Amino acid sequence: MPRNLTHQAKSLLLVVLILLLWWFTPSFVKRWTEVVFQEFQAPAWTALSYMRDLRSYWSERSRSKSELIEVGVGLSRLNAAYAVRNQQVDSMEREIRRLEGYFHLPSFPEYQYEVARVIKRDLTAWWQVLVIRKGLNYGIEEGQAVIFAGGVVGRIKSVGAYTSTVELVSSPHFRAAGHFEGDNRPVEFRGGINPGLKAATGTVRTVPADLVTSIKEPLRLTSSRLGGVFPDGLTLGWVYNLEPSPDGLFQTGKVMLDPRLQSVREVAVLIPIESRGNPGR
Amino acid sequence: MSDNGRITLIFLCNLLLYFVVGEFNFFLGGLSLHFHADALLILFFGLYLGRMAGLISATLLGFLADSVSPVPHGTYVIGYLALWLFLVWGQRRIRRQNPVHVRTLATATQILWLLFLTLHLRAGMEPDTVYWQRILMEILFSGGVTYALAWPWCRFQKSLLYSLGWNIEAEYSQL
Repeated sequence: MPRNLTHQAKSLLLVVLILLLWWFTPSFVKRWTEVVFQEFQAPAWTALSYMRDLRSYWSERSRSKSELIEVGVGLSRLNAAYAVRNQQVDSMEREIRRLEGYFHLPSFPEYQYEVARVIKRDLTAWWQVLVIRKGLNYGIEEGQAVIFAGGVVGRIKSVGAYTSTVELVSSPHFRAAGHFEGDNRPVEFRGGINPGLKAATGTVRTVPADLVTSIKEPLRLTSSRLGGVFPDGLTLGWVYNLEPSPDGLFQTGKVMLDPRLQSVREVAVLIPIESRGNPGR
Repeated sequence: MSDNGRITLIFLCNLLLYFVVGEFNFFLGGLSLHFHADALLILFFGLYLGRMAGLISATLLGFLADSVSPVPHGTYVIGYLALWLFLVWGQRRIRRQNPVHVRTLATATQILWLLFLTLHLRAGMEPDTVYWQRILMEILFSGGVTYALAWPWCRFQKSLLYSLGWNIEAEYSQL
């Protein structure tokens, strides 16, 4: 028995020594170790994502020609619809520029869309993050907005040399300003604590008391440019029910987020580009 | 091959497990589930290998997990060392040849770690019924998978060492 005690006591002593060493380690060394270990494993995660892509490539190759032709026809229809919409957007942008010049208004921020593949997904009870396959090498910076076909994905939390971590909109620590479609008054959106095996949710607070929603006519919560991160009008989620807050001045409600958020494979990072008329910004 | 070489190989096996679990979680994310494999990663080092090998491996794996998790820096390093210490404490209190003992200790280690995270990361979360439901689900899921995998994973590593000329089972059964 004394031998057992010695073995365990020595182990305990060593752990205490390491903890003391860690306690007195300067913070820049700790930061350095964090970056080193993050960059060390980034290529492995990237390689795994390429393997996943390869797997889906081979599974796609097994599709028949008639299936591919069908998909091609669908895509050409979509392309035609988008071409028309692009023309409408161009004419609206020209109109906006004309009005900005006429009224001497500051221009809206413009963004470059950097599309990136998701290589890692950690959706736990305490944090909900994605890792994407682009980082400093593509000019991505902390705090930039990340979106997908269903609306807002989240914002960049940290950036590595070749990868970036995205804090999801469903993360319990996520906060953003928003507003309801057709109503410009700002509301506060918070990520939620998400139940397992169900779609992610969030909460909305400081909703004006006169807004009404129902299951048949839900309200669409969209992003607001007030926070300075997201452009205006991107979908955050849908609100089916609002309840009065304890002070009686506002309402609160649960926001149903897009279920595709949990299985998203490709996202776009919004990289702000210098606004017109403000080249120095 | 030297003992250090064999231990390095075991470490690489656990590193591979770390990435495989990450890939598994990528697909589980679609179901809003997450498998925590912390106990599996340090189980063999805590139960079967020597002190220095266990300490170094637990620290390195802690640094790896820490760098990709949005927790205060050092949480995983300190946590993995504490879990390793718990496994060392359990070494002489269980029969390491008994699959049920190994599985139970691994599951207890995993649940302890998740309970620690629950208390440590609770700040600013506004815990409600949904939060505790989710925590319970993660504990049950990770605990169950850990229970199922702990013994096969240890047996695989022991067999690997045996095939490399190190009969670790004979060594600790003489103690």
